[in-house]
Amino acid sequence: MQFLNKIINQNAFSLDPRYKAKFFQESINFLTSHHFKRSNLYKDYLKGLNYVTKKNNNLSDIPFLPVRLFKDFDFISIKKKEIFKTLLSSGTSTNKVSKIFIDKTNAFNQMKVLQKIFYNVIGNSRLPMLVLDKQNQNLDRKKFNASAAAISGFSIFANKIEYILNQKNEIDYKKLNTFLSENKDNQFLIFGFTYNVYNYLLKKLDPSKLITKNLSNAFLIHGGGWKKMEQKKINRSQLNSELEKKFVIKNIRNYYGLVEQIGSIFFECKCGYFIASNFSDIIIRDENLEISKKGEKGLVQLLSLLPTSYPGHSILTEDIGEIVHDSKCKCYGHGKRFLIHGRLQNAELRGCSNI
Amino acid sequence: MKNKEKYIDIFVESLAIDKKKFSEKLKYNDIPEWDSINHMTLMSGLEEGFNITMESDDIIDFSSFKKGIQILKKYKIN
Repeated sequence: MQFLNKIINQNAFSLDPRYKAKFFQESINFLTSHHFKRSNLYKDYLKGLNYVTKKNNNLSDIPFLPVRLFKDFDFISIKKKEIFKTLLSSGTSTNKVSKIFIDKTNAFNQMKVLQKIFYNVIGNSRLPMLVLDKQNQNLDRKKFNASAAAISGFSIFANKIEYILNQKNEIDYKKLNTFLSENKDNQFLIFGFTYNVYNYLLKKLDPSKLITKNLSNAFLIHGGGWKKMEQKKINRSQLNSELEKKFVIKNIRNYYGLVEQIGSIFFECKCGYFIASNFSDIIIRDENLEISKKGEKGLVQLLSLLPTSYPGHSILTEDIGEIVHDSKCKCYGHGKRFLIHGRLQNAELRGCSNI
Repeated sequence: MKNKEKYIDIFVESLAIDKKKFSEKLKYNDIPEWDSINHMTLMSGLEEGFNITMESDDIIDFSSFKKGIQILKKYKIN
């Protein structure tokens, strides 16, 4: 895609808001026509909405696909033989998973964009990484679930990977202590799902069995949702302060993203906001699905320039969010700052990353 | 490239491909053996073999055997 090539080698937060608005209007209209021509299912969907594709429709008037439709339908804009990988969301009570079909170009762009974005968080150096999970030994290379996709994606930032759990899901203190002693003087990454951060780092890990309780050189990256955390009645600031108290971990960055939309990954900045990169954008909608007033909470719609192999460039999530206007926050660069306030109350209970 | 033989050996070994299947035209994701997971094995193989540490953007841009030769130059491997 020509428009993506225009920006792919720039810093991921370089586009000023006015330019970005125009750029997204052109690109998302283009992608809408692209998928209209290639996916009959998507074509029917747009026809059902009486939507006419044009080059210059307003960004906010371009239709979105509700995220749960990816569970019931196989949306695809490429030939079957061009499918390179299928990404699966985690199962839910209904046992339905989203299926996302990507070709080689989309797979490559996703990695490229993740690197461009994460560069702003940690820099270009690769670091040793501790994963709060067990090693997946029977990885299906054609079908990735959310958790395998995330670990595989983040592995490009690691020059060595160690898993905290053994195959019986027990904490492997021997391996862990070896890792900690090897990296006592240098920065390292800890990567895991939010619930695993709570369950293993905060609850199960026994500091008296570790060679050090001071993990201040760790940079913790976690994501995958707060649903299970809400049941535990623990919020972001409590989690962060407990981690600092127990292990002196100060660098903690939550990330937000959905399997259903490649290219949309958002890392918390130091101010605690998620920031949209050049490659994606966010719109907040009210209960009538109209654009929310400034500063109001509402349903999150996400836009991404990456999906060309399936019509996932404009999706309506089931998450409640809020765009924040904080002129003091200079983190990363340009891009809308936002907060996520959890899941829509009556939305289908949605498992995240199998946890 | 002076180190070409070693470079090829690391390729064949890290990706666990038949030496007969090897070609200098190899590209990332063109054969099942060179997927995103084995890519990281290949990268650590090169790092160990040549005693270098590559940056994450080079890991992404390492998209073919030939491109790899250019990238390794940056780390003074010729």
